[in-house]
Amino acid sequence: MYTYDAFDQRMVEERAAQFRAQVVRRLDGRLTEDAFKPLRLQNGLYMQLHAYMMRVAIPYGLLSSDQVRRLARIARDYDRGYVHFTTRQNVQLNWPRLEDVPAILDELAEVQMHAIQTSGNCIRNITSDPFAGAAADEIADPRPYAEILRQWSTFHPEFAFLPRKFKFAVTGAREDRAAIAVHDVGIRVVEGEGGAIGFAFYVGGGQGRTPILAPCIRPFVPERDLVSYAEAVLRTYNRLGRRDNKYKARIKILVKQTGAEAFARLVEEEHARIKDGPLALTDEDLEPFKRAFRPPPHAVMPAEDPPELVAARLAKDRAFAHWERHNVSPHRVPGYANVSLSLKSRDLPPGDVTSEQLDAVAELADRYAFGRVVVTHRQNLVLTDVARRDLPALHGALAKLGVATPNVGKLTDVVCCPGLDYCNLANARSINVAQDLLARFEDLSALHDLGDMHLNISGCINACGHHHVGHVGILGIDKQGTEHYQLMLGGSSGDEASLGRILGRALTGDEIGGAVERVVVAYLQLRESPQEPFLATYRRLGPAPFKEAVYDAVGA
Amino acid sequence: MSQHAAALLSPTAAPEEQWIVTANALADGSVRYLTSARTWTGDLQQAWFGPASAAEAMLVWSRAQEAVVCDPYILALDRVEERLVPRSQRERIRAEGPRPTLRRLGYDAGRAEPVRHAV
Repeated sequence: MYTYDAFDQRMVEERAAQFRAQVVRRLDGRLTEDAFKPLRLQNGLYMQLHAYMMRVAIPYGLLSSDQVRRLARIARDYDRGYVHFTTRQNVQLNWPRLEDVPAILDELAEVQMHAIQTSGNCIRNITSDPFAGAAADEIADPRPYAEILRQWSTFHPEFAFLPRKFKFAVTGAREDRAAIAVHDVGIRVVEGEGGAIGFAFYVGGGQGRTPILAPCIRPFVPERDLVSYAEAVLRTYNRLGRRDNKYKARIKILVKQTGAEAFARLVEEEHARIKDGPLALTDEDLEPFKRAFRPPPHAVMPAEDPPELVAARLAKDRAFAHWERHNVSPHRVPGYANVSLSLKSRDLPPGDVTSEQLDAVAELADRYAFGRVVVTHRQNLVLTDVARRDLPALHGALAKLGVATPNVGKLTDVVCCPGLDYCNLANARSINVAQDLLARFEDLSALHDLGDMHLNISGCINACGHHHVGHVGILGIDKQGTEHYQLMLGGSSGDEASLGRILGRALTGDEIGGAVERVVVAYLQLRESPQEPFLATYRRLGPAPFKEAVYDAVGA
Repeated sequence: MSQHAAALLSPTAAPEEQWIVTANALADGSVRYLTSARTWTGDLQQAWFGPASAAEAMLVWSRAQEAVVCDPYILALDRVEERLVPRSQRERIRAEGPRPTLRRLGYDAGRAEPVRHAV
């Protein structure tokens, strides 16, 4: 994993010191709130309903075990003993006190973390495939490229005040697990002639009030041009993006109104001017980044399953069997696996983890996963590089921690923003809906029979819960002072991405859980076989039978 | 049923519009309500209330309290049987905190304050 050099370290330490002085000036009255607000936002510090909220960046979702322990300590010492992982692979503290924030930034800086560019109209945290570097279907590890882009975009003077915030996602795998179609820029590693590495650039996607899937504006950008092409995209957006209306300021609006082909031509014109300048990447430039992410020292394992795994299967441990089936994914190295830790249970809101759990996960990462933990955009954690012989022991430890629920990718793997329980922007609660659904579908045998079914909940149109790309999406709205929920079906953030369509009238909080149940029942009746997933059934039949199932019961 | 709904359904309830001033504390962002003594409280029922015109005047005063609170604003609510009852779900949650089930999960009980500030 990338390790800060002296320059990086000094930068985050000085940033913490700078903010400490700003907090002092705010608390003693030398800074007004109007003057202070942009300064705190530039350090990821928001004001929410009940408290400040601090968002900390986790580049491409990757944490060392020491960083995980530090987050646990910060949550314990400065917050209320838990953190919240977000759909952009960041982590949020829900209750920091203003006077403590500089100390928190110091603590973060000590483990090479920060809150820079986690707010504001700048390039935000760059996200990636949670299995990056370990996926069986990977063309190339995307993390060296994500780290190059992170360094390029951090404190980039030209892009500190963009028309609106800007989000990158990078994937190196054949299957899109990074939701690249719904990012301002989605970058996909592709192979060119002779196996040369390049990138397909998808530009102008996003969710929010105007959901759009990003078109591919260039199918192959050579490796050397990664940064210069990104710079050309940003320059074109910065020059032409609207600044008069924040709802029309994202790059997706510009690309849509300009037309993808015309926008691509503008980018090419800009790129032609800069591509042979200092942003062109040489092999020497790339080498230290690739070296930073070289694989851990895997052992040579036999091709057949290890005896520990065979014994666990022979014991007919159903809990282990379900967990292995749903939470364990293939690894590129024989004898190894990627293990997803489910942060979706009835005990905690989706994405929340206690300090005690974080400490224990760090220990398990050290013991079983080369000291690495990855945060996913579905608000779970992943331990990559786990030897398959260790799976039974790891399962036992994770079950004790409450993070072995075998529901990854299933209906109860609910993605959910903090909603109106915490968020200043929300119109409706989302956590209560998630927990209601978790309770309704906790019968795991029925759940497993459903296959993959992604449920995403957002408490407002800003779509932090990614409801537009949930197979089942729920959007909280305020209807004459009361919470209502729009139900939408058919979204997907993976390959063949699609946006969900609203099924009918908004439902009350009392109706929404039952409505999802009726969608599930209708799917079970309508699918051609148990092998046909929900999304395929929906795409084959359209919304009509599901609409009938929901609204015949509650009224249209 | 929410406190608000229960109050409004009461046969003796006669909602009366009142206005208050609310903000978030500078120190920790906690919800604050202006009192008649021109201090700040976290208890909605201790808040000063009055007509909109008086609230506007209180807001002007509150805006000068930047050393204590951030972004004050005025808010209409119902006064029902001596209780101040927010009209919106947002303000109900601001007044009551994250929903009770979260507290049952141990988020607040015994951890009302970060360890660093617990005495």
